[in-house]
Amino acid sequence: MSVELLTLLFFGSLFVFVLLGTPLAFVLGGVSVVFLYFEMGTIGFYLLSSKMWEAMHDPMLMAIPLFVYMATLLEKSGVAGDLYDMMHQWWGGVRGGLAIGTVMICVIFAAMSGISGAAVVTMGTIALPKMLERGYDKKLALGAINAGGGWGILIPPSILMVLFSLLTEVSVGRLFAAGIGPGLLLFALVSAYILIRCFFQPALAPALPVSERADWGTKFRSLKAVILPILIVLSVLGAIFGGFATPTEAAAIGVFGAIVATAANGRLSAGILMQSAVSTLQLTALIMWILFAAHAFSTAYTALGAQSLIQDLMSDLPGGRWGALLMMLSTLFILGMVLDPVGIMLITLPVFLPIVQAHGFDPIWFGILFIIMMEVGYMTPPFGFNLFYLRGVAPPGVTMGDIYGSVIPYVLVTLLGVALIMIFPEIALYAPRLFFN
Amino acid sequence: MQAVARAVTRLNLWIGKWAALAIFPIFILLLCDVALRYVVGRPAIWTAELAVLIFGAYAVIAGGNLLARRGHVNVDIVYGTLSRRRKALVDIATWPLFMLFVAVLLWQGWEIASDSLATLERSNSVWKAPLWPTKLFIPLAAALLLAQGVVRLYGDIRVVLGLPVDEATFGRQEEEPAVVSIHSHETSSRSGKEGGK
Repeated sequence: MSVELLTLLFFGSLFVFVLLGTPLAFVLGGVSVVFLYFEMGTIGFYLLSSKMWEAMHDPMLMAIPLFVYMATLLEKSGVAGDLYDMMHQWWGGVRGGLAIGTVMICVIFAAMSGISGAAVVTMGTIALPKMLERGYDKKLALGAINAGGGWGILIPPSILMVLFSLLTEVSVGRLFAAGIGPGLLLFALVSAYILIRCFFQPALAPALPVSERADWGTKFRSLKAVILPILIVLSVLGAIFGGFATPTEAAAIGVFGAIVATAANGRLSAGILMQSAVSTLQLTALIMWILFAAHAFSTAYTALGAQSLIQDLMSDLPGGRWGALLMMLSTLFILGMVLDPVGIMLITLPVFLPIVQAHGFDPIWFGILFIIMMEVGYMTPPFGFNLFYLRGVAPPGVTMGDIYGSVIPYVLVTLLGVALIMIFPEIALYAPRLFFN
Repeated sequence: MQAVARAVTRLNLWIGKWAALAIFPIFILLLCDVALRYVVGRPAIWTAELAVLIFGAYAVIAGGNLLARRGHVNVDIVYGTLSRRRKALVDIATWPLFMLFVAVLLWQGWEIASDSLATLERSNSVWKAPLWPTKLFIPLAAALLLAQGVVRLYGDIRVVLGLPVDEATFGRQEEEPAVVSIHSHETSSRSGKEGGK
C-alpha cells in the first residue's frame, strides 16, 4: 500500500473512533497497535513499551507535574484568585475586559511556566466560572483561555524550545529571548480581537454595571496581587537565564515559590498541599497517558513512511523560498491537529532543517514560527493538549464540543501573528540580539 | 464477580490518593540538586536521577485510577448526546481497541521489565541507578488499567441488560470533569459516591 493511502486510513480510523467517544489515549494507542502489526508484525510492538519508557525517564517531561503543581497551588492558595480579582477591578468596566484580564494573567503564567497547561488549568478553574457567571459567551471565554495558555511554550521558559534546540543545535538562550516579542505580539492581537469583537457584539461579554465598578483606591490597592506572581516569575526566569538551573529544576523552584506564596497568603496547610497534589496527579496522568499513546502513534506513522511522504511534499515546490516556508507551516498546521508536538518535531525537523538552511532562513526565526505552529496545534481539534487540560478542569456544562468550537477565531488571530512575524522578523530577532550581542 | 470488580475499583482509587504524594520527593530532590550545586558547591550524583525514576512511576501508575473516575478525555460531540444504554453499547463495541492497546502494553512492558529485572539493570550514570523498579511499573500500570477496563466492560454489559450498576463497584458512571477535586475544596477523591442520579 502507498504511504498516501495508509496515511488516509491511519488518520481516518482515528477520527471514527474519536467520534465514537473512545478516550483519546486508547484511540491513539489502539490504532498504533493495529498499524504497527500490519507494517512490521508483532515485532513492532516493542516500540510501544520502549516509547513509554523513553517518556518515563525524560527529565524534561518531569517538568509537567511540577508546573501543574505550581499552578494548582497558586489556585488553591488564592494567589491566582487575587490576580484575577485585580484584573476584574481594572478591566471589569470594559466590554470583554474580563477575557482580556484573563489573557494578561496567561502572559504572567507563561513567564513562570514552560508548558501550556499551567495557565489553562488555573484560568480554566478560576476565570472561566467567573466569566460565565458574568454572562460571558462560553466560546469567547473558552477560546481566550485556550489561546492564552498556548503562550506558555512561546514566552520563556519553554520545554518545547529546549527540545527544539536539542534537535537543531540553535542556542536555547537566544530562542528563549526570541519568544518574548512574538508572545507580546500575540497577546496584543488576541486582546485587540476581544475588544473589537465585543465592541460590536456587546452581548458576548457585557461590561460590569457602573455600580459594581471599583474606584481608583480599590484598583490601586488590588495591584499588590501581582507582587507574589512577579516574584515567582523573577525566580524562575532568573534561575534559568542566570544559568543556575535547567528548565526542569526551575519548575521545582517555581513550586517552591508557589509554596512560599501560599504561606504569604496565610493558606499553607497540609490539606492544601495534599489536595493540590491529588489534582496534579490526575492532570498529569491524563496528559501522560495521551502522550505515551501519541508517541506510539507518531512512531507508527514514522514506520509507515511519514518522512518520505513529507520529503515528497517538499520537493519541487513552486514559489521559491516563501513557497517552501508556507508549505512547511501548512504541514505543521495539519500535523498539529492530530500529532503531539514532540512527535511532530521528530518527524518533520530532519526534513525541514536542510530546507531552512538551503533557503538561508534564520534558524532562530524559523524556530519561533515552528513553536507558534505547535501552539496552534495545542488548540486545534481533535488532538490538542490545551483542549484536554481545559476539559479536565472545566465546570460541568462545558462540553468538548463547546471547547472545540471556541478555538476557530483565536487560531485565525494566531495565524495573523505568524504572518506578521514572517513579514517583520525583527519582532522575534530584536530581543536575542539585544541580550546576546 | 462483583466483589472482584469492587476490589479492583477500590484499589485504583486508593492508588490515586497515595501516588499523589510522589510529587513531594520529586520536588524536594530537584530543589536539593540546585541547592547542593550552588549553595554547598558539591552536587550529589543521585538527586536528579532518583527524581526522574520516581517521576517515571508517578507518570504511569494512575492510568487505572483515571479510568475508574472516567477521567480519560474523550470527545462528547456525538457520544454525549446518546442515552446511557447506547453509550454502553458503543463502549462495548470499541472496547477491543482499548484491550489491544493495553494488552500489548502489558505484554511488551513485561518483556522489557523482566529483562531488566533478570540483569538487575542499572543506568550508565556515575550513580549507576537501578532501572528495573521503575520499568516494573510499566506492566504494573498496564495491568491495573486493563483490570479496570474489564470492570468497565462488565459494568457496561450490566447497563445494557438493565441491571443496576453501582459506582463503588464499577467506578464513576456519568461524564464528569476529570479533576473533580479542583472545584470542591472540601471533598477530596471521595466524590465517587454522589455522581450517578
